[in-house]
Amino acid sequence: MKNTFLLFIIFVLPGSLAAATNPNLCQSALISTTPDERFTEQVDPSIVYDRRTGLFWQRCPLGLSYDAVNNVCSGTMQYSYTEALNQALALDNGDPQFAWRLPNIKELASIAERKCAKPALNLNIFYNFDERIPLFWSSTVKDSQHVYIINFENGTTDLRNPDLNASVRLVADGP
Amino acid sequence: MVSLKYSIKVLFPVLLLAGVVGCSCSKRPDPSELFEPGIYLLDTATAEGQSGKTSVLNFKILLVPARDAEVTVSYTHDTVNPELISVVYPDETIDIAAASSDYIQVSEVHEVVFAPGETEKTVSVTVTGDDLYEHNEAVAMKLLGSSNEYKRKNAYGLILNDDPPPIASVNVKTAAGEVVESLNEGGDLGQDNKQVPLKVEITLDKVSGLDAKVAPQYEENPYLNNEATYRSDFALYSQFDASNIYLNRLKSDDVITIPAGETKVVYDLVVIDDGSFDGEGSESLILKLNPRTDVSVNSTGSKAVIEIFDNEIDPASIYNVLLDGQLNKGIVDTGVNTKVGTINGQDADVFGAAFNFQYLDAQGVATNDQDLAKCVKDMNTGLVWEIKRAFVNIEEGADPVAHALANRHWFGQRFTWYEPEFHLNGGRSGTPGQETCFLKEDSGSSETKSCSTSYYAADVNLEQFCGLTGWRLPSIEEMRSVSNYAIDDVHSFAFAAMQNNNVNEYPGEDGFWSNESAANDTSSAWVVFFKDSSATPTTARSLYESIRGKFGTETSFFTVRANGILVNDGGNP
Repeated sequence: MKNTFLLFIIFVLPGSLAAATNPNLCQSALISTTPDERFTEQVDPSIVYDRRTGLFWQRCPLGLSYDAVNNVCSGTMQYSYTEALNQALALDNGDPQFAWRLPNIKELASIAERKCAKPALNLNIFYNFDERIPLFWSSTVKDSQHVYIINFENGTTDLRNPDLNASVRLVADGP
Repeated sequence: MVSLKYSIKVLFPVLLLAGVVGCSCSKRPDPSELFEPGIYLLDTATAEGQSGKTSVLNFKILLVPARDAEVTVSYTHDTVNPELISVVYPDETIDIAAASSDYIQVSEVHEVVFAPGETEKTVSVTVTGDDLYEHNEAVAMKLLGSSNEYKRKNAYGLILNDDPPPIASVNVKTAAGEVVESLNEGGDLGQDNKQVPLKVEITLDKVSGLDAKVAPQYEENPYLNNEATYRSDFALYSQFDASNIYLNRLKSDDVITIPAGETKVVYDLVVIDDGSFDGEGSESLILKLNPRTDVSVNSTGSKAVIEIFDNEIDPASIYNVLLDGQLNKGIVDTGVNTKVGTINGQDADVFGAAFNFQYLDAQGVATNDQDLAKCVKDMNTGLVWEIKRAFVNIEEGADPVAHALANRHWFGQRFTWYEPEFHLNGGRSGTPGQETCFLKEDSGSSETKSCSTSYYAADVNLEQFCGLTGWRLPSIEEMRSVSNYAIDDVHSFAFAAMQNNNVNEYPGEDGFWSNESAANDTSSAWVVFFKDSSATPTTARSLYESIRGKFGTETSFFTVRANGILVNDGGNP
């Protein structure tokens, strides 16, 4: 019995270390808030449609390029709040279906996956979470010094000075 | 039959005398060897016998020693004197036998005449048999007149019960009287959040002469499915009255009495639909009867088992059938019109949905009268929200239950987080807390008096608050939907009435429990802070994990409590 127990420890420890580096920590017992079924893919594979809220989302953070072959987003890009707003406007190509903009705080929080942490995102839908830059701007302002953000490491809301940098995920209302 | 509720004394131990009279010794002792000279009336006893039969109580009169001349002794019935009956049966209640129904009274005064040399006479009283389970009963006899010869004037005859106690059994039945072994948790799809009213019948196999007392017990489920939880899945009442649910709720181990002469008591059982898909599967409710006094149970009838099927629909399947664009819950206004520099319109609201609330009265009918309003319906999401109330002071000495009922929706009440369903709690159920919610805490007392979120919701459901059941804790997103990000105050409810328009009393420092466990630590549940304080900007409207009690440790008194506000899908999920 003693030998068996020792073996168990030896084999479990490396597994635990490996789990800590997994892209996503999900509790199988909890109910998913953003199940795959909630989203539908679009003709443009870099966009998903959220059937619950009626919003279209970019699957890659703003400034990253989507690799449709490998389903990954490449690059790293962060923006100040004002830069993010301007960048969204600059993407406006006159297509009324996809007038990309920053999501408000309620919209941004609606894609947090509460079953998971690190990140609190459904990684089948939203690609390439970079845990070094988990903060995402919302458009919602508290005052001139504070803008609401979501930290997708675990889905919490927080405030951030608009002059600092954070990631951006754009949203569109659709037709 | 009159019941004597205390022990009764006799002058001589019945057992001693019964031993003399009933002795099977080879040589019967001469009374003169045992007693000093005189006349003795002795105690006696007999088995009662069955219905339609009779038996006899033989009271002996002893004359010690035998005389040369006739001796006449008069006797008659006496009133049973509780203080004179013996402590020979200290653990037994002796009832007073009733003349005519229990025994046939000897008429008035009788005499016995001892012929010269006779030492023993017998006075017989006819006992009427029956099939009732009852206590042993006493008949009193006394010698008449006064004489120095009377050494023992009073005696008791015991009619010994020879009938077994009744056997109790329990069944769960529909209102129409059919035995139920399984049912759906709520109504059919589209009529969810219903309570299914059933009856629990506890019956005796025969009429008893005594009150039969049994205690129900919600037994642990030995089957493979889940265990139905008292209060969140079902509730049992002596009489269902939602306005008074504390008074008549039957807890496990409450003693139920079936009165003498009756064979059935009926209780209201309510099976509660939790109204949400949680993958809980079926649950079993096992109601076991424990015999307490003057009743027995057997293995076949002592348990009622019903299986409650979860008939909720997986929301994932609803997404699949929902036509795109036909959304039941969109995202409403944030309250903030974003404008940075010259850039406008970044705060687009889906459906252009500005805040839009409607008061509902206690029955759920729309009203514009704030005094009547108990709930508020969010016209964008369809969600109905509880309105928290100010504390109502009730005069000192008032019934604590009335006090609790008056303050059921008090906004200062705090709760431990408790969710017994595995698929909602992520494996840690939290702390159940005390049974009765809504009792104001003593100021300065460290003693926790709070109940749990689960019990709170169960009570509000049973109340059918605003005409609705299916009250539950909201999700984080649902709480966010009623948060107005433009309000920079101790609260940020989009609809001020949700906290009774009373900012000063509002415990804005506390968070509100969500129904969500934290993914990175299932011993925590999410709390939403509506507070937005400029003093601590980093915590404004942030979501925090709060530690709840460890799974299964009811001794964990140090448990985190927070506010709670309930939400309802409004019967239109």
